[in-house]
Amino acid sequence: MPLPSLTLTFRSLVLLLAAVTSVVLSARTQLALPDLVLPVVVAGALWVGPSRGAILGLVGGWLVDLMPPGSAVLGTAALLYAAAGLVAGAGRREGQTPFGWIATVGAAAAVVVTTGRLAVAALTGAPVQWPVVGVELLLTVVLCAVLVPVLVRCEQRLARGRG
Amino acid sequence: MRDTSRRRLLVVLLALTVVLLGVDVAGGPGAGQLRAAGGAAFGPVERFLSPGADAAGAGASEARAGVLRDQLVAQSREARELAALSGAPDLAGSTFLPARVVGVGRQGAAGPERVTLDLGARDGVRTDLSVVAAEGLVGRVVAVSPWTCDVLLVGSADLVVGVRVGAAGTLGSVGSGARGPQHRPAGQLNLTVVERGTVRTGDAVTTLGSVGGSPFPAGLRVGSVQHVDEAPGDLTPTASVRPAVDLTTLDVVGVLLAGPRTTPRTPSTATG
Repeated sequence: MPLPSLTLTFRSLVLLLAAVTSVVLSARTQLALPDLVLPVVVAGALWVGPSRGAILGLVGGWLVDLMPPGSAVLGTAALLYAAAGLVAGAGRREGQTPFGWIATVGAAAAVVVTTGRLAVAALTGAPVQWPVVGVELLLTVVLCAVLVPVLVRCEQRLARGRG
Repeated sequence: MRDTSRRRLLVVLLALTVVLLGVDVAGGPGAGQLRAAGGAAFGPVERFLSPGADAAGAGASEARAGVLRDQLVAQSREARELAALSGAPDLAGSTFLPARVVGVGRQGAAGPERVTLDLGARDGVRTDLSVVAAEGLVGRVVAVSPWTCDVLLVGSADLVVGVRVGAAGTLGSVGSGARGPQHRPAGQLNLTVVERGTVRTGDAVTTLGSVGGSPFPAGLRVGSVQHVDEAPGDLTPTASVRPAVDLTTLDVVGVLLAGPRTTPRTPSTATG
């Protein structure tokens, strides 16, 4: 089975890169940053469907949870990204996917993750930085719209190259 | 058929995640080891990508370049921050390990709550040591892996610090601003005074100190009182506290190994 292993390797590498980059970038800048892991999960889920998309989200979320300094509560990011993968996977369409649809699915996944984070903050008693949360949501939606078509094309090319 | 087995795998993985989440919330065993394993696996990557990595790995072969680099480093911001840390009056007499922040977790909606330092168990760091900057208290070490450690910052939901307020030394505790009746914006801490004491705007808030100086030694600056709440029904006064350290621009910090008082206290005899 050479093809699944190739796309799988690509996806895991990009996920790892996104998780490390977001932590290291946060240490260097105080600017609001978009969620870098979400576009990878959305692109993968759009390609493979809901149940495999949710597994991909779960794996990506565990990477985020365990990447030092880690989440305040282990497993929260895993569950949030699994939900995002489920939502994005439900948006899979056969054949060529129009750009507008990809952007909509990315925005829906971003809203799912942000809502979950606000719920976690409310449950754990952490303060919420509303302006920062809003800006980050906006940046994530834009990044998803830009990055997801590129990632989907990469995966398509990898799949074709194998076959 | 493949689809059902995949769905079954998803359900099993989700159930496992929920169980681990429950264990972490309940403070059960295993969560700490899992974090340490994550730190051992990914910590070196973060250290390698940290801003000071190239300066730290200086080779002995290029002596001239090394001298130039030393001069450059001496003028750099990190050197100034380290000098400020060594010269901070609050820390006089205490021993600390200088460290740099290599990773900041901003996954939650609360801004930075945890940071990663480039020191680990191999450098002698253990959990429950306090972390300081030149201006005052930063947080407490909560997870240690061989090369890195994770620090819970002051103001995060899980950290409460016993404090003394003002010249009178009124006792109280400082925690996350979202806890308590007043929902304060992020960047402000919540101060609860244990009994009816006087707290005024501008009063300094310092650590009360823990038994054996761990996690918090006494006398470290936490912040200053910003606003005293006017709540007629309250039995104890509450106030908002502005943290002494700007937690969003952390770079060079110190992990306190031993507090300022190292000589044992001598017993005194009453003369009345």
